Amino acid sequence: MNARRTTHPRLGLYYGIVTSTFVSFVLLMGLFEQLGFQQTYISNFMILGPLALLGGIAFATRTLDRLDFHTAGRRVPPVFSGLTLAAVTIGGTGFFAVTGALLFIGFDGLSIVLGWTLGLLAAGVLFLPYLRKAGAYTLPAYFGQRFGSADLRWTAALCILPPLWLLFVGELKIAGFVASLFLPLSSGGAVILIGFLVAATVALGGMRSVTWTGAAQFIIALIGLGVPLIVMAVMVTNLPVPQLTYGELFDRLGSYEATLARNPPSGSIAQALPGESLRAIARPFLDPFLSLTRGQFIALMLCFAMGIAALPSLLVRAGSTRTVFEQRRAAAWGVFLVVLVAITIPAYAAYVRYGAMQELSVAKAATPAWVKSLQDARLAGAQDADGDGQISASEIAFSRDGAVLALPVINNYPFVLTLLAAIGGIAIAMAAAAAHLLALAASLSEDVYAVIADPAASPGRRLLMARLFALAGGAMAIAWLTALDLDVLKAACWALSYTAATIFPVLLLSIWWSRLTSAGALASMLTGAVVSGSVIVAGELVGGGSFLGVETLIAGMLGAPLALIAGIGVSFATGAPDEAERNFVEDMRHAGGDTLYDRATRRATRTA
Amino acid sequence: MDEVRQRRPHFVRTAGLAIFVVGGMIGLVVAASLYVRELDNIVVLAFPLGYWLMAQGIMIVAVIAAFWFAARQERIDRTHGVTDEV
Repeated sequence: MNARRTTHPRLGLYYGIVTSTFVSFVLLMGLFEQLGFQQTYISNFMILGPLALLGGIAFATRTLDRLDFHTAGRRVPPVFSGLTLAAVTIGGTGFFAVTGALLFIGFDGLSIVLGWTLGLLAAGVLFLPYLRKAGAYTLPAYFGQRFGSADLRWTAALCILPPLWLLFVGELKIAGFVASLFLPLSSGGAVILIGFLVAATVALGGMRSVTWTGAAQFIIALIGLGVPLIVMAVMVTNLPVPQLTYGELFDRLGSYEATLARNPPSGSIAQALPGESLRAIARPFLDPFLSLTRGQFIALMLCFAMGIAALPSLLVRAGSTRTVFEQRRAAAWGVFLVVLVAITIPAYAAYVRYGAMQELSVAKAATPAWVKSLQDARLAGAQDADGDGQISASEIAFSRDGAVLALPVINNYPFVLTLLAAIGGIAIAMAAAAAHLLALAASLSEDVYAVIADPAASPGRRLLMARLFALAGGAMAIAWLTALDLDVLKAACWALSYTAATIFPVLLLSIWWSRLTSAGALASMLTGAVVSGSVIVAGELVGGGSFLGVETLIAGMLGAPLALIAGIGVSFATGAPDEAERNFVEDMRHAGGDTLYDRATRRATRTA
Repeated sequence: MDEVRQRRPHFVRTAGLAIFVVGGMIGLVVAASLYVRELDNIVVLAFPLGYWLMAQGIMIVAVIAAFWFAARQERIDRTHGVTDEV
């Protein structure tokens, strides 16, 4: 019996080796660059080398065991679990798009990073320990287990498909976009490469591969975000702690920003949030509520928080820790690591803005070379609007998703630092993409295929189906991205808003309110899905960005309360839950003892 | 039935702690966002305080709250005889 599997004793050592391999590889590339090797070689090696390392980890952690595939063997230690939780929360969207958004709208962009922090904290307090005790392989399977209802199970599986799909495709897109800048591939070709790697990771080892590559990917992302920024902080402030010292920039930044508009916001969130087109920096960094109103700021933050808290790709990770107690610590580590990134990216955005404005504020004979480099990479556009022969700060427009890559370019740092930032973002995007794809494939196999299509499917067949769904999902995402485009930041807002309405209320009630009935849960889930889904779809197709007075990006603010009311109302209208359901809730709240899913499985095999 | 009666105070304390942590954090963010302009007049380590709270302070509190919650809930469990022994 594998009730108490132990952690690998040399896990820390392995990650030390992975990290130092990566660091020495980067140093080697830096050396080659200084020796005058061609940039194309260096960029190919810098992107493909770490991808090969990650592919190696994924291959080494392949598995044939169903418990390993869905829960990584229930033995991931808290810190490593936290690394993966943080990687999925932030993702490539956070790394590139949110940093870029902060570059343009400064303070108001903090609503998103605060949303991540509150969301993961709420998940760790309200949901994760209980789902760990329940121990189901997927979130819909938990609903099936909690209410003893197969209908609820497959309905939930279908309900979580759209947000997971949007997030998965978004992560793939941003990773492919950045990779294509540095590889001799079109962005479609880069999407195929990344998509194949992600799908192979999930298909080979499921949760096991996703966990162990994800931990390495988050470490690479931290290095990629931290090193260029620390280099600049040392140059500007003489201290290697950018998060503490970027306050010193604000005086000078304020004088560069003197001409920027300070009128209060009048438009929608969709207008305020920077899109993918190039955009000039038009708002001061520090002043609050110039792009979003206070109400919009809080609404966006709450949608992100509830969406992250109820995100199936985070919640399925609950099965992978050893005990409920360790799961709580894992969530705390996750919050710590998210916050580490969340306080770094505003600093990063402030430094990019400072670097660009400082360079352009001084009268120079010629336009700085970095303007041309960024223009060539289509990460910026500059036009001498007033015809004075100079590019001033108001005449340059930046790309949102390229803001992270702009920092080393603006400062004229070695090319290898730009590549380091790029591979950091690609790595974290792959970690998030793999987690979303795993949640998707596992649900399709365990909760749709094995419940509706083939209830007699053997465990081996279900596992095979999960792998096939992962590969098919990867192929479909690649096909989707060649035909359709999507703005990753908007896609994340929609996905999290929808999750906030569809999953958050029913999950909250199912754990904390034992009176919730199966019918109530179904009503809550469908209300959330229909309300938020129709606000998003109708708002985008016919409503010009809003529907019933609610903006599509924060559709969860309407859907979540209605879903909560529907769940409570229908539960009272239907009869009290039976003995088994009440016992299950009692057991779930008891932190000690056996994992409920494993106990049920054992009993089932014993009677059979 | 006895067991259920024993578990009642445990659940009340658990739920109280959860509401305190999550509700407290949301309250903190909303309060800070209401007074951010006034707080910005105070400057700490070159940061306007309102901005610093939203960009760092509250998130640091969240980290402390997360670890504190894990330790605190563990103590509640142990005083009610729940351990993580399998």
